[in-house]
Amino acid sequence: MYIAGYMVAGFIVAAVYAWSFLKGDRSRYVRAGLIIPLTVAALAAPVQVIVGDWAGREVAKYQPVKLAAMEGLGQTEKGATLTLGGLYHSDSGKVTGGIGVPKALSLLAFHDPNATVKGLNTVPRADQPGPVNLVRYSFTTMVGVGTLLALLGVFFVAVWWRNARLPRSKWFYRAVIAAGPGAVIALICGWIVTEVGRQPWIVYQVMRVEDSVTTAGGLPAVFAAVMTIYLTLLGIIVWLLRRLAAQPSGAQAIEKQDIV
Amino acid sequence: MAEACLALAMIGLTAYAVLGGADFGAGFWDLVAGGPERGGRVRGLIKRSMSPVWEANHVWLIFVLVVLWTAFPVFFGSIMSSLYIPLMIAALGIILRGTAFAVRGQAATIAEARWFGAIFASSSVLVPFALGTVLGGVASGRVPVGNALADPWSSWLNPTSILLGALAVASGAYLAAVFLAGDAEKIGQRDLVELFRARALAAGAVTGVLAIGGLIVIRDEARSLYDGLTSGGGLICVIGSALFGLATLALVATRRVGPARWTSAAAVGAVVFGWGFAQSPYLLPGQLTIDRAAAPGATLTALLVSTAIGLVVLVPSLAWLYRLTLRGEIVEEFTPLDEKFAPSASERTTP
Repeated sequence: MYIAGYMVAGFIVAAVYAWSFLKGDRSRYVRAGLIIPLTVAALAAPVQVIVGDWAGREVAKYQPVKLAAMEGLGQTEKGATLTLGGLYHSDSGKVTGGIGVPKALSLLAFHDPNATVKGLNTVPRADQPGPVNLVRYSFTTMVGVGTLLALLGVFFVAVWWRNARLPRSKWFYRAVIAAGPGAVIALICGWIVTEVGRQPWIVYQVMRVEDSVTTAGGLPAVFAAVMTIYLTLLGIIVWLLRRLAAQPSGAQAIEKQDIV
Repeated sequence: MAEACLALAMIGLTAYAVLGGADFGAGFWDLVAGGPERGGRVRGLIKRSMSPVWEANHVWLIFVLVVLWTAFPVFFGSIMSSLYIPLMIAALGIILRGTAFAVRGQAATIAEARWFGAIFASSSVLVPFALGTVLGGVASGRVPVGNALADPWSSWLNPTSILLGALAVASGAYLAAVFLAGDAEKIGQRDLVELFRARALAAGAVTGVLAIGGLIVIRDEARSLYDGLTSGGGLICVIGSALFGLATLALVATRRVGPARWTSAAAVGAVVFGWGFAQSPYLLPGQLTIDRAAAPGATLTALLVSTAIGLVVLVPSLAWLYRLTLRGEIVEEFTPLDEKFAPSASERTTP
């Protein structure tokens, strides 16, 4: 989460300044606002790929049912196929309409093409997560977006390294703008995989969610109060940020000259 | 080992009662400072004093919560599920308070500043009151062991709870007044020193009366706690608190607000420790002892080790922050809050 946090924060901040850059503001302020967070995010992204691979293998080892849900693997398989796309059907335990890559899942999950990957069928239906497709597509989205972000970071670092300048293509800046919300989407998808993928357990195979929830009354009222407060805070923050954005910043006023 | 973990929680609770209490107390004085013009200077001083520390002070609350849920999960679970109403009020109040304080700094008009100031100041009173009622519910034995077994209302709306809630608000106001008088002296605002000296004396007297009155209420409601407070370690703490409290009043009355900050903190800290002694060996009076509530040894060891590592980072940074703040070395401008929105002197003279 630490590494992912740097990626998300980096791409969000960079996205704001990529917008200004595209609109023609090439001041030192905007360039700094672009380069610093992009560098942080670009350095974090490849590390996140390594951490993600490690986390995936840990899940395969300790929470095999969650991994099976992430990949839509109904039956235990030796040399398991990685299926992309399609829809998982809980009744048949199969994915229809997907593209299969033989042995790829075993390779990714255990770094061994012939390893056995446990399927959802290793536990009764009642102990499997219900919305398998949600978990699966969240996982695909997270990995897909994360990979694109990492490539964007690598491209930025490569151009900076070779030419000591920012990329010239407008598409690069458009991609950075998209990377801001993209990073948030990847982050949320990651949380959906973690939390929905563990259902019906709150502590994997130890305690079920319905056994852990308090019997104290008033939960709906508390839930409503928390939602109201946070939505209000969201409104206040948006209002405040828009006001701050409308004011000319000190740095902008002083250093409105291009240094390169 | 359970005792060591409890000691950590007690130290954290004392730090929160003193530092967090003073922080809430500053909000109390903001609330009663009067209209925008009359209260402008008071609010400016409060903002100046609070800005560097208001977030850091809540580290202690988080610390106490983490230590308690890790080391004494049954105790923590019983309190959290039974007293969820005051705890939710406190949690929402802390969120609103911090947000409103931060947003007020960005207010563009006096109307906005007043609106956010009102939220900040009223939550500053609500939060310590709610937390005090929680302590009252625990101290008077109204929280049974288990999930949500107490009455959701009478467990925190009862004489002991109301009294401890009021005591929490009053002691915070008392601490804040002493600290603010010290800060005003450092920036040479004589009128504000006098103003907060008077408030410190008044709040100190109210706190003292509430504390003594509290003993009478506790005698009826929670006899074992009363016995604990009037014998052994509990009694020593109570007497110590009274002496420190009187010393503070004497120091404030004779215009020595600098040392008064330390004695006022000691007076409040002694009450927290006295309560701990009085309840020992019970966490939930008459129902759950420290040993029975403690998590398994491995968990406690892990907690102590990780806390030790954390303290290496936390203690020097907090010590430095408080040192800078107490010495007035953090350069924070003093602006009466209403003048921030008035046209500045230079603008007024230029046509």
